[in-house]
Amino acid sequence: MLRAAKILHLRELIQGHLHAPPSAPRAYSPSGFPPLDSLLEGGLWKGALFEFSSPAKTSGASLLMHHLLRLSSQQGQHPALIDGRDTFDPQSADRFLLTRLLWIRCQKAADALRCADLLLRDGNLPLVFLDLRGNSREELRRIPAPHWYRLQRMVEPTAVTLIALTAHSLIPCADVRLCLESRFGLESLEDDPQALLGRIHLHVVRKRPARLGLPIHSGALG
Amino acid sequence: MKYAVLWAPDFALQAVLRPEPELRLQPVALINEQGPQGRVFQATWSALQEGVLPGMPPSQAQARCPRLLFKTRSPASEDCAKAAMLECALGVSPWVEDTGAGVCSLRWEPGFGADPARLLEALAKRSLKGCLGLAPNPDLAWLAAQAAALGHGPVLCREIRESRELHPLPLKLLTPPAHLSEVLDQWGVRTIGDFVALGRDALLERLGPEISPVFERAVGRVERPLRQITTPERYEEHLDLEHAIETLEPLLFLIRRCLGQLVLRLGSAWLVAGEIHLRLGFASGGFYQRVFSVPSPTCDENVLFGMLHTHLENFRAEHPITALGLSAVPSRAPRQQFALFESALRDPHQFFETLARLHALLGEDRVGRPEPEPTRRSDCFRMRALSAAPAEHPPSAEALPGALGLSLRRFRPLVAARVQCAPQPVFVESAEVNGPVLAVQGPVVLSGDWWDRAAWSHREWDVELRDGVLCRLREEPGGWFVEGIYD
Repeated sequence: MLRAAKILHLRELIQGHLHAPPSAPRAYSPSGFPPLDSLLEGGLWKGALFEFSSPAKTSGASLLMHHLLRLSSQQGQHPALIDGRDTFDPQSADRFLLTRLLWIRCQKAADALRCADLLLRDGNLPLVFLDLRGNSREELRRIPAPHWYRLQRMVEPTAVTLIALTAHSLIPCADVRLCLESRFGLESLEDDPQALLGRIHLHVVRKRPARLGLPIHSGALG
Repeated sequence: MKYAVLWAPDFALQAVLRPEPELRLQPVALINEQGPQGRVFQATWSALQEGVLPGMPPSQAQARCPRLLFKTRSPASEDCAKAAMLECALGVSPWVEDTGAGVCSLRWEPGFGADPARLLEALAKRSLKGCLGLAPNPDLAWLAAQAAALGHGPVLCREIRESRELHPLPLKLLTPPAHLSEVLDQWGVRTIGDFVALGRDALLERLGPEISPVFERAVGRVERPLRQITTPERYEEHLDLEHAIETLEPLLFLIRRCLGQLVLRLGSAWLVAGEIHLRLGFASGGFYQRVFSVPSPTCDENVLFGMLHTHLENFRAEHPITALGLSAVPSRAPRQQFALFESALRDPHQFFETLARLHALLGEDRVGRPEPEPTRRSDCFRMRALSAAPAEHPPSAEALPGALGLSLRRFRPLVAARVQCAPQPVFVESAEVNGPVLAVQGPVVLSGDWWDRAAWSHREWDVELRDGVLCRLREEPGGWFVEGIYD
């Protein structure tokens, strides 16, 4: 009897210690794109790894990326673009963005991940895009899953937002995975980007709950 | 009015030993030149104790002291040491004269906080050992400094208020001409007191007019103005290496020492380093030079060393390193006012180091800020270094043209394609995009550089494929290419 009571007490103790902590509100920064803000309950989370997946080649992912980069640069920050296959076109980018953008031109996905690692360790740049859409599926499949977990762990305690652009779901530990599905016609080549943003369709594939201990803070990007 | 003379005995030797101060306690001889004409020019105290004397051939010196180390005289090191010495003097008085090698004279103003011990300490921090002489005129102060060198106290400083105090000092301090010195020695005149006691007229009568300036110095009557110098804005350390360096560790060790000296000198002038210039000389006669821009000017030795370290980690040279030069371009401490919503980098130095690592990983032209060239030619831009500091007049977002429509994702290099035309493209076949064409815009005919051999011309088509892909096709004389995809 005494033994059973001890076991019960021990069980209570263990349950008390292993009790899942209540989720804390995330620190976030408004993205300036209302559909995205509503999906993420406020804006882009700081200290989070996002995966924007776009199976279609013309899906508006670059449009959204340019918008977020421009917003960050307008706030006086230096956003970074790690270009996994050197596909960024400066001539079709906003000139103001080009004054502040750090563009890292890689040829291999492995190099791009190394660059992401360096930038996350640095922690100076609040918004980092990792564009892997140009890299082949075989190349991306060779990236061991622990590499992604390491990036996720590195970004978590910082105020950096890391957004990976992929053609297919790739990152097992992404805090948020969004899928972009949009279709544009040739007439959209002359349209205002703000108007085109409204034609982007997003849906959340996966969203991890916030963890305890993150600071409750919101504000502009960064 | 009082004058001071700061003197670093065996200056050439001290200059060479600055990066390795531990060698001062070992027998070291300085050779004036390499080759058979070389002679011992100066030697450390322990070498002198072993019988090594200035003027000896190196072989003779080596025979007297088998563990003798030889160093060769380095004018560049002497210049650096002189600059360091003058900075020390200028930290005490604005009236400073560069009197000679290892000697500088200054007007001494005790009211402005001039302290002999502090001045000598500042010199010691720059790895120079000096003596200080104080007197009513510069020449007397020079004798006082030499007299101080003969002393054995903790602070090598000697003050002479009147010339009578010089009398016990040896006559050689007055440096009379050699032939007169010999005569005086034969007469048994050993001290300045003995010399002065002979009387000016008697000396002139027996030794001629050449002895007159010597006598004037002995009685301390020479008054002359100082040839004032301005602050040397030259922060440079140079090392000629006796043994060539082939690995990173010893190079970093020497760089750290040189950097320590530079930082000390900059700090004493209330300046910070805005740029660091590194110059490595190779055994082949060539050299490597690189300028490091400090993102946020600083005097932090660790930060500056980190910059150099990161770069040198990936540095490869074909020949051993025989000389090291490090100089700093001084600037004032940064003061910057950010715009209301503009934020600074959290740690500009860390960011600079990260950029250096990215450069090392990918290459200089793969990391930076893209700047389109003023041309219609496709994919024409240059990479600029990203500056961490805010621009003085940053362009506003409204002032610069925005982008229109979807942006292009380029294929570099272009992807070859087979395009069926009737007469516009109707079907595209390539490694990246395939399918029938639903809609077409174009062609846009572009050409440029017609005056040059590199003249270019092509036609561009924007097409929408049945699977929803919008892409840009390029038609060149050599065939069709997919330039990129709109996204």
